[in-house]
Amino acid sequence: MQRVNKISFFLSSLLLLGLSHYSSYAEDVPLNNYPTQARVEYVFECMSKYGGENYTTMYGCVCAIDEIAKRIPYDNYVRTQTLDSILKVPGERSAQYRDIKGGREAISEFKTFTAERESYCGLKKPAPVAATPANTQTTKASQASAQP
Amino acid sequence: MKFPVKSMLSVVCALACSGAAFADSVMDAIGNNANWAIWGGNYAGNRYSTLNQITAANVSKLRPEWTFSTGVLRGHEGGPLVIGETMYVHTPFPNKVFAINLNDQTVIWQYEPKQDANVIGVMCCDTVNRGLAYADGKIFLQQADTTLVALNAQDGKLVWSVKNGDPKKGETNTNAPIVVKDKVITGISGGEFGVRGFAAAYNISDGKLAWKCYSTGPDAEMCMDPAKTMTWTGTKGGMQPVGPDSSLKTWQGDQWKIGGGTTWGWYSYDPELNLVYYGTGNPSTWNPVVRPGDNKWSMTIMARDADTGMAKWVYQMTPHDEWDYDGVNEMQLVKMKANGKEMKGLVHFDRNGFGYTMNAETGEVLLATKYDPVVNWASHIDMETGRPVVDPKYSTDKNGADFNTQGICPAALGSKDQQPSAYSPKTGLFYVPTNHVCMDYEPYQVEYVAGQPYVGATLSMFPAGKVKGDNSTHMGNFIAWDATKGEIKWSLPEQFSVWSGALATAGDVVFYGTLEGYLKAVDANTGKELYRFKTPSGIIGNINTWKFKDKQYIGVLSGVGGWAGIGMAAGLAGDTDGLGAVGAYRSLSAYTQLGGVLTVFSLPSEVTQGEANQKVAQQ
Repeated sequence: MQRVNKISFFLSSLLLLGLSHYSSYAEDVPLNNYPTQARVEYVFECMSKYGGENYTTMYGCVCAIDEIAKRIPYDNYVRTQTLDSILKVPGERSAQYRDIKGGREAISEFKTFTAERESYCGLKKPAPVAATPANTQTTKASQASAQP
Repeated sequence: MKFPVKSMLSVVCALACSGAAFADSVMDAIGNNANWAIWGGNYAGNRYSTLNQITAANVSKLRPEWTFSTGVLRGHEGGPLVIGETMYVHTPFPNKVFAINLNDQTVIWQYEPKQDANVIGVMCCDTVNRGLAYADGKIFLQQADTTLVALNAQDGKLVWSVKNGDPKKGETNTNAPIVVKDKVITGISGGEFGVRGFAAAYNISDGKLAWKCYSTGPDAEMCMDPAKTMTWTGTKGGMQPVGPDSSLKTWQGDQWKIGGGTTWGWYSYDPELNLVYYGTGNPSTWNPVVRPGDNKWSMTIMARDADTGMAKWVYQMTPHDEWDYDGVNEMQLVKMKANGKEMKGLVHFDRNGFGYTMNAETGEVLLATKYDPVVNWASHIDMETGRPVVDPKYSTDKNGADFNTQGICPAALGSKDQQPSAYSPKTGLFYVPTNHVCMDYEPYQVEYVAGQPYVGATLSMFPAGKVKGDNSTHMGNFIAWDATKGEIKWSLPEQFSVWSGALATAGDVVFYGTLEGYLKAVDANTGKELYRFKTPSGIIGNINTWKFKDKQYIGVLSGVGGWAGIGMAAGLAGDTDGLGAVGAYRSLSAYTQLGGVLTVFSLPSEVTQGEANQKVAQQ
């Protein structure tokens, strides 16, 4: 915990997320310290993203969270996700987080990294469902979220 | 002729004291500590509960017992009310209300107003709503489009509705109303749109306007008596009448008509003094150069008679605001000792970074000190004159339009925003969620167009450590404050600003939420962390507590308003099935449609029964 605090806030996630930096930080980083709750949440969300609840998606998602937990300390994982959610808030409030040094880079690196690990674990995005009035919005939204 | 004494009294009352019965319904509801019947837990806004089943010794065993998903994505501020066996949960726009049966957590009724979605565009700061009020068998909801509604608490049916403002002029609402006797009091938002702020009271029986008092303008429209409305002018001048045209004199020409001073914060009430307390927001526009003068009564603490609206006293904290430090934060009313004498105190943590300790009866300021040492826009409040001593280096007015003033602390959101603090009479301490953020500020010229943003400043914000030069990167603190001395007792750094309302309890536990989504419980005396639980999203709601069937519960809404979750937002946009479902984990589809979530915590029965048995054994 303390070790993480020494490194500056978002810059730390940036460095720790980069695979090229991984080896030099390996000994400093508390590995695999994710609470069960965080893993379960990730897996549920991940299964939903990759086509729903079945053993294929579950195995892939379990693999991916193990990969992520190996490389990113839990605190950094939480911080990056928190910042990502705040930046999506409209209005004055999120303004105070928009200019955080290294913030956007950390989020983008985090997303690239998780996408890579998910791909490494064999997860593939389901083909978009043909557009019908009932599911148009969902399809659009999932296509949008697939953009970097 | 003989009348039974009781009915005689009621006849007298019907004639002379209409409203007394209504007052009792709020006072009764608040008086029972099993309820959480008003935003602040009591009229004084203390956010303190005498419940003590959950203690510093056992809070580590707390666990979530049930959850409720609102199905609304935007930021969830405020907290639910609990009256008897029913909980009332509100949501951001579209401002749904759910009544939940606490016996089985089923939805008894749901209310969803039809509002023009265009109102979203004129809300400056997300489409939040800070909650409901309860009185006399009615639930009061102040909708975003300014419609104030009274709902039958039993079945959710609309009893009456009234328009409190006009969104076309930029008027919107986010505040929780408050009921005092036979009136429901509310305010207005839209300071960024040049709205002229006011407080208004409507009869709870029929929604008829009882009084409306503006923050700026002619005396009569502000419900101010030039000879009787008092203001503190510092230790030298003492309390003085505001005098004629106290607002008009401090604006250039007609600027007061679009002068801001909106009233979107929290309202407190002292039944003995019959005074309602609230604060007014920033003057419009944000560009201070074009509005010379003190801009009264923006940035002001107001004490008004609850029956008539007449101002008893006013105090402007930030004359001629240059930084957007709205004065709307909660007013904590407390019994305290000053110079060895019992006194009715008012404690207020302003956005401007100063904590004020005042005499609630007279309006005299006793103390005003920084509750975040990094605050630099003013060196101090000069007690002799009653005015802040502004550091010219950080004056966006002196530096002028199109000049970027750098390193101002706090940032525009203030050292603390609306998220209300808590006060424990047991420890005598205030527990304050804060921002630890500074800014660069560049004003520019704007023309006023009704219904358009009237801001005129470019801001850039960063952690306060950059100005302080201590390399710290945290952007929030949770502090314990001694208002008799004006000193921080302890301070817990938080990585992100603390935007959730706090709760203090007789179990010597203080609760608050974080933007990571943690509900945290800390020791009321030492600040030591005793428990944390990660809820599904960032917390900007207030922590509430209540008792049901001999069990103490803790509840909080999470939902920061932005969603990092990959599939969640996508699912919500396309589908409304399962919204408002109790139990976010009921099915995968419910899970992916989170939106805001209320999480309710309690101790396992093993713990509560074990402790109850121990008590019996000891006796």
